[in-house]
Amino acid sequence: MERFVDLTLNGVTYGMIYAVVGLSLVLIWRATRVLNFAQGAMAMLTTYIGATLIEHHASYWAAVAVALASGFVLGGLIERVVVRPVETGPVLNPVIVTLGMLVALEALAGIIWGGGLRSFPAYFSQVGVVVGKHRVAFSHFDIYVLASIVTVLVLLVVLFRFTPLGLRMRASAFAPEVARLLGVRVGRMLTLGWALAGVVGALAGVLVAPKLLLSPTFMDAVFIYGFTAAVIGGLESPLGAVVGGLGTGLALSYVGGYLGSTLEALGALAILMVVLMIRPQGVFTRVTSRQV
Amino acid sequence: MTGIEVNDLSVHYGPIVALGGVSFVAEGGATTAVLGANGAGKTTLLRAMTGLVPADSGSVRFGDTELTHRRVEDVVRCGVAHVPEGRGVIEELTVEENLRLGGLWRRRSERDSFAEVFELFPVLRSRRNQHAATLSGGERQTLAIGRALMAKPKVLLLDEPSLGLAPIVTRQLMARLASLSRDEGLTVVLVEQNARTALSIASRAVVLNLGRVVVADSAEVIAADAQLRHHYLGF
Repeated sequence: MERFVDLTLNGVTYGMIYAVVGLSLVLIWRATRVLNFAQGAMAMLTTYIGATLIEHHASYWAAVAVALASGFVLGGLIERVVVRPVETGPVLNPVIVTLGMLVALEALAGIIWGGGLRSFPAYFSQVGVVVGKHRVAFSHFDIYVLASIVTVLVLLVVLFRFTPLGLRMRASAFAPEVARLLGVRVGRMLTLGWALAGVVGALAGVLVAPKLLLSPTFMDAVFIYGFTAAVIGGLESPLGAVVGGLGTGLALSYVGGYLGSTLEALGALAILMVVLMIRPQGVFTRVTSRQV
Repeated sequence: MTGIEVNDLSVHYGPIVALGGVSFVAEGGATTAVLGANGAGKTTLLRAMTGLVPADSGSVRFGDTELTHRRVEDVVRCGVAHVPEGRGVIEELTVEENLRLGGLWRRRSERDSFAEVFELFPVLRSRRNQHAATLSGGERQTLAIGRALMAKPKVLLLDEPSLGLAPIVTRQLMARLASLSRDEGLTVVLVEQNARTALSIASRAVVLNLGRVVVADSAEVIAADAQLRHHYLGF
């Protein structure tokens, strides 16, 4: 029972991180219909930037703020410079371009920071808290992880549901041509969508980094699990990405805990296959035919 | 009241001439119908007027404002609203969000045109919190027009508003448009395949065929010309 509780808590923490990565993919997908394979690599880069600042004696919070800000800039920049020119071409072009970005960013990180492993400090204790007589697998740092992710989710909901800017962004994503006729600067909204996704991805990076070790490829696995989360949700639905992330995190934690950690990646693959076979449109997407 | 003046507008899709030098004037405060068969270039004409398709040559002027080569997003800021073909409501948003979007580019203090639009189209008030996807065809068209009016435009470009609507709904809609033009001084350019209905509310009409103007005259003259009706308008 104790083991089950530990695995569940562990699954929830990781699940929320996958959820955030999935959410950043959903933001980009909804804005530009591009699956951004470089999302993990972008988060890796911004985390390295944060780590470098900390190594140069910047405070943890300053480093996190700079990492998030560079995620914003990087996301917007990539949309404007790299994705925009290929958007109107065949659908495969943006896929190839973002895959290229993935390779390029990882190579760039290798050139700047080397391929070796680095640590990223956790601001709060990573030792599990004691509940009753037991020390559970849930630390102060995990509480901080969950709290910051929930805060970001709430902020995004408020932005999209209740602000004029959010309304413009949704309109640009759903019906760009109509939005332009109504005076919405759609190009700017799409850039902003990528920039926000960059922030959300950067957050996932700095939150997961203390649990792993920093290397140019350290976000690859996190990206794949986040991708699984987004696909389970149907790529369209932010809520779907969150539920998908939690589900993936829990499932992988149980698989790793009861069947052996080497089977984790296989577990993600199995989930992905089952979901795609039973509901290829994702669990949270209503299928609607769209008039063009 | 300012009218809109189209001068020698040409659009090519590759080797195909969609518009071959179209000129006409839509008088201020009046309704001008643009008629013609499928493929005559009616939709392309409207889309070229607001910049959704780039014009190869020619110009579009609204009073002293040059609209040619302006960005689509800026045309509505000049007072020209375009309701595209196929209703153009955003199904994923609620009725109220659709409407609010229409006035969002305006200054905050000037944004609230809800009351006027609801007075004009009461059905929208009762549906305001529903998703646009749940509306009927007529309600969607009403929403699309109401949303355009949120921008308080001086010119309204309408692309086939009667498409897919029951005849009685079409008649109601046309009566509403006629009163908008008459009472508010709105300049309306009405693209229609349904020539009979359009001619009943328009004061002038332009007939297009294969991207060129066949005739531009008052609505009565065109409605009375049996040969023209037979050849180009199908009634």
